[in-house]
Amino acid sequence: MSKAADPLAGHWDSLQTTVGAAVDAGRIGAPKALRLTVHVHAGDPADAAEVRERTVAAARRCAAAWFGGEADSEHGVGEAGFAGAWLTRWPGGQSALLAVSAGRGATAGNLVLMGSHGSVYYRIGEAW
Amino acid sequence: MAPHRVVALGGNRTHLESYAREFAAEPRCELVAVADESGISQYREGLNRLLAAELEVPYLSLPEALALPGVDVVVSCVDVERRARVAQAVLASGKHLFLDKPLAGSVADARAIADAADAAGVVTQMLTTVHTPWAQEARAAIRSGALGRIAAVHSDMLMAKGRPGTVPAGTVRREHGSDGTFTHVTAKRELFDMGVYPVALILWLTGRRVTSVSGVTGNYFFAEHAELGIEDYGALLLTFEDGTVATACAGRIGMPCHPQIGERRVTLVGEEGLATFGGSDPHIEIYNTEPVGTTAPVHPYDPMQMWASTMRETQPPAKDRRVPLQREERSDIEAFLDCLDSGERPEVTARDALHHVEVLMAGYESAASGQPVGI
Repeated sequence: MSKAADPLAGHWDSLQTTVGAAVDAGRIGAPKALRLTVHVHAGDPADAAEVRERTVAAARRCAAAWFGGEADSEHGVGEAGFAGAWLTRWPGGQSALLAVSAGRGATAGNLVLMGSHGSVYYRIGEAW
Repeated sequence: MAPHRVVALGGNRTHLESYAREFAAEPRCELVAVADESGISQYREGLNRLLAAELEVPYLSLPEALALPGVDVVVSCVDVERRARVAQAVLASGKHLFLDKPLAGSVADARAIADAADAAGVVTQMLTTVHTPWAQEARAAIRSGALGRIAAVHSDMLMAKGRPGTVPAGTVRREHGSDGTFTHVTAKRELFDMGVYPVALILWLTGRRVTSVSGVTGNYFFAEHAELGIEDYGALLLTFEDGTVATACAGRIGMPCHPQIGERRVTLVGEEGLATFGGSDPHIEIYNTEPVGTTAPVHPYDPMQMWASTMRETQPPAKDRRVPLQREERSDIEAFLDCLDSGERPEVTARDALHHVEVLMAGYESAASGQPVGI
């Protein structure tokens, strides 16, 4: 699958920037926990594994940006190329719970970034 | 005369505040007493007696209450640490038992309750979200086959109560596992108390047993939890015997941090795609000239806004910008009474709830060790 065929790359960048601006403005306090549940449409089932890995990588990039650094541990489970989940921890105590799948069906899901005194909600839907 | 005579165990600042009133209002029931063990703390006994007075029923010792003529149902909301002993006494007397969640504070206690229930041959049910319209819709979606084979289930219970942002900066939780203590005045262990909802829902939907648990806990929002050394957030990664994956996210995030009571939902991932069902959806949104309130006075005995009795004193503002569409809902207590009348098995019995406790305790163990824990 070519990078150009990835329909989500630009959305992740926009999401990272927009949420990052809210974080930087102090609107949710210190970011503490990320919860992502998303299924990404893969037009060709043969691409599902790559689509999923690309999505997980994008989510990790966002989390690292919002939490201000790289994670120090991660545990993942699931079926290769279909539905997987990852539990990730940061040295400062933050955590991310990522549930990512790819395959048939529409792209859909949701994201919550919980901060010490506020939360950001994002619904992943038709726009993606 | 109502067919069921009910004894309620516990008191104010427990879920008995609502359960006892619902049993009392049920045409099929007559609430005859509030009761508890002897020798409990003055704080607890005082709150128990207060509820009995509010409900205009006598307050009795546990043996006195169980010996009342015609009593066939008990609803128990006693302290987590005493749940096994009290439940065993109730079940040995042959009463049907409606249980507060979670079932118990240890696997040994939970197993003792499940074994006692099986031996007694009575009906038991623990409170969960499985009777909510959104949980019922999720199960219907699985049964319809529209999503194909279900490969993953993800569920959240993020309670939007309490005033957040008070946890000291730089707090990094070091999980120590469960020491068996779950009863505190100002806060609860949220992986245990909130996490049981998604765990119970996931297990009910899949009908399978968890084989491995990875967990993390945090002190992210509240000083109260940090001061007690208990977590305000927890996340679990579960694998099942057939390879199905599940995740559960639970905690107390604070009253201003959600437009309703909190995020309550479950997502199914199948071969044909994803579907999400939640307590907030579908909904309407209302924007108008009414003031938007997001905070309330902090009650010294209930800063986490857990109880209706204390909320009556602090009067938090209504959260009514987002209003879910009205749907018919059968309450847990209605479902329990229906099972008593029909002879059907409740959706979540004490035996089912034993596995919830196994999963939650494995989650604490994993959070402490940083490694997956097998069950």
